Amino acid sequence: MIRAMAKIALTLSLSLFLAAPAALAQTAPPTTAETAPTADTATNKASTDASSAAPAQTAGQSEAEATPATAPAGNEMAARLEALEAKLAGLEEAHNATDASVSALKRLKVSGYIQGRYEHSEASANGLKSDGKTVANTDRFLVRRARLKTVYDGVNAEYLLQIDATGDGVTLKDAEATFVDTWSPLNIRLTLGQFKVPFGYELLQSSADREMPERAAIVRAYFDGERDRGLRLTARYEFLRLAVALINGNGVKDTATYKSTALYGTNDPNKFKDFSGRLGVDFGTVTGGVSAYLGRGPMSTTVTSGATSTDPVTISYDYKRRTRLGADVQAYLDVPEVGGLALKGEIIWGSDSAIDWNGVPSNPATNVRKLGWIVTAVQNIGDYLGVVVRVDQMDPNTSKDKDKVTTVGGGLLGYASNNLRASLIYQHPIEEGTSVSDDSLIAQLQAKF
Amino acid sequence: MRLITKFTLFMGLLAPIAAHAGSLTIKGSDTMVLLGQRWAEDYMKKNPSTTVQVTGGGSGTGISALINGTTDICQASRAMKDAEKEKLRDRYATTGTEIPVARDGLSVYVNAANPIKELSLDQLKLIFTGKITNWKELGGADAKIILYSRENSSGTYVFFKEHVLKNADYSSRAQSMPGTAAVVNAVAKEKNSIGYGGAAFAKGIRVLSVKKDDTSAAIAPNLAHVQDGTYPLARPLFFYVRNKPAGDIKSFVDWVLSKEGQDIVTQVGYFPLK
Repeated sequence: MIRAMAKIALTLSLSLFLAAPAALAQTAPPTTAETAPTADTATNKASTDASSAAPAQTAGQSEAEATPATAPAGNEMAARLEALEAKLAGLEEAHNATDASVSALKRLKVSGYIQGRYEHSEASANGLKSDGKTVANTDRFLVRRARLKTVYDGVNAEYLLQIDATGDGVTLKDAEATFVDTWSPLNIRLTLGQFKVPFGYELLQSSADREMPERAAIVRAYFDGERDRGLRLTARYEFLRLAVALINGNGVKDTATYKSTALYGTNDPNKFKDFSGRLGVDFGTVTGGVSAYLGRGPMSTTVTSGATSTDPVTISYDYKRRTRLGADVQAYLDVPEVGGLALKGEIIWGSDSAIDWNGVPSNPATNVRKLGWIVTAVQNIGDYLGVVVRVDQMDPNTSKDKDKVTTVGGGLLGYASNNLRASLIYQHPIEEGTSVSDDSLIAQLQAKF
Repeated sequence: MRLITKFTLFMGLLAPIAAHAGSLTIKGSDTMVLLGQRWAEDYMKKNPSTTVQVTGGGSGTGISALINGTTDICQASRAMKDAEKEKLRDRYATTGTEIPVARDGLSVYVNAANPIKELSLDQLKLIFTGKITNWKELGGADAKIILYSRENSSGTYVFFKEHVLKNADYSSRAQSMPGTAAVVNAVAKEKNSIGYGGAAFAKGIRVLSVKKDDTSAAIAPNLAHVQDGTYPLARPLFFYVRNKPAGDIKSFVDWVLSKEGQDIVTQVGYFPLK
């Protein structure tokens, strides 16, 4: 910046320097028959004056001799001009070097957002829940998400790191090492690392963009934490979108614990790798896709302590085949004089089927199939306000009756700018069986950059 | 219920006054900044109660401003990318409205003293990717080719990269200039240079005719060739708005597309839509 200003200043001084003779000519007293020259005619006028003085010289006098005072001035001016040009050339070189550094820095992008929140729930109570571990109170202020994301867009490569720093500590969200294809029309990207599992719409939607504070129940049930480690390939051609991945299948939230310690941590508890993929279309105002997740793994791990502290523990697994299928569609309409309207729908079906494992026959009685759907409508009102309504349902076991939960939620969104969004969301779960008072109200302020 | 009432009031306080009535901001393409300013001046003469502010910065900057909500209209010399449309959709639930407002023949400039009069798209690609570095390889003088390009926020930079370089990278020797006027100025001074930019800026330099391939005829970027699309680097110039135009935006856009607005396109040096 400073170099650029210096360059401008130097250019201006050069201009002034070159304009000096004209300015000097303006200040020269006019001849008796003349009126004062205007600025436009000053240079020409000065030349005319010099010519008119010529007849007074002797015939043998050269022009240089006739104007002895201006020759050294001209030489000095030329020398100064040369010096300034040399300086300018030097500054240009320096500017180009700075420009190259700035261009490299432009490849680094840092972004992030913070969601500060107040939650109120009818189900809230003081103290702990009956399990003796979980806090029963949900009337609270919290930092729900505090994300920092760094992306470096290199040559045929992309580095992406996203962390979440909330009151519970700093956790890794995304860590992606990506090869970027710039030759083919398919825009292929191959990523090794930790990323969101390519499945459905709401799972992949950024929490900074999602209008409702949390994902719907069916998404949370099957993809808690949303991410996994593995190899992902994405490609796009015209309106087609493809994302497929081979992943560990253990997710990033290890739910298997023994004596309050995560059993697997960041490890994959088995050699099987799961597949997940989404084939989508994007026609601009209408988008959608179909998704599939196929895998195997321990859906539960039981660790039983020995009778005495020196006896070995017994570990038993319940292996299952995991299948999830999904379909989603989104439509975007422009309501005249009001604003954009988004209508989104998604359905997810999943099955966990017991399989024979280590000579132990499967127990079909433990099979569980879930079904869930989500319908969301978002109406923008001008550029600064919005209304969201979402209805979602989850049947946690399709073989059982009276266990579905339908949640009706909605609220107001306010945008002070693109960096600040305030939202007030009310959610009312409707239990098919015994009704529970568990309505909730969430007020959230999101700042992002 | 009382909570909701309080929140609604809070929202009202947060939301600044939406676009002031009678005030329009236009941001984006440097190629179009002169055109935008002329449109704004003439429109404000006819509609004194309306203020139209025009700034450049490049098509990429204008599109970001449209997504960020800091401009009403974005001027762009290239079409919006998929990723940009997705950002707009995520925030406003619309894909934006694209309005072609003029046509341009993206011109290739050389110094007036350069004997070269035409080049093919392949030759241009080889020049700007650094594969051809001397004018003698093209039938010119034995002199090193000096490359002038634009910054990557420029729509012209992106259009040239997509349509001429076929998405290959520019040569590292290409010097990034802050605007088309700077490119023209540099080419006018440097005898062995080459640059590119909008047709309206082509003054004091030579504009090359361009061949689609080695066997095609060389086509000059004039009105007939740009409008019928035979000039290989003919391109539309766009307005982008978030929603379907309404109110002041609609009035301005309608005027720009009228005969009066399109006459200004010609006066500035671009080509009208019809």
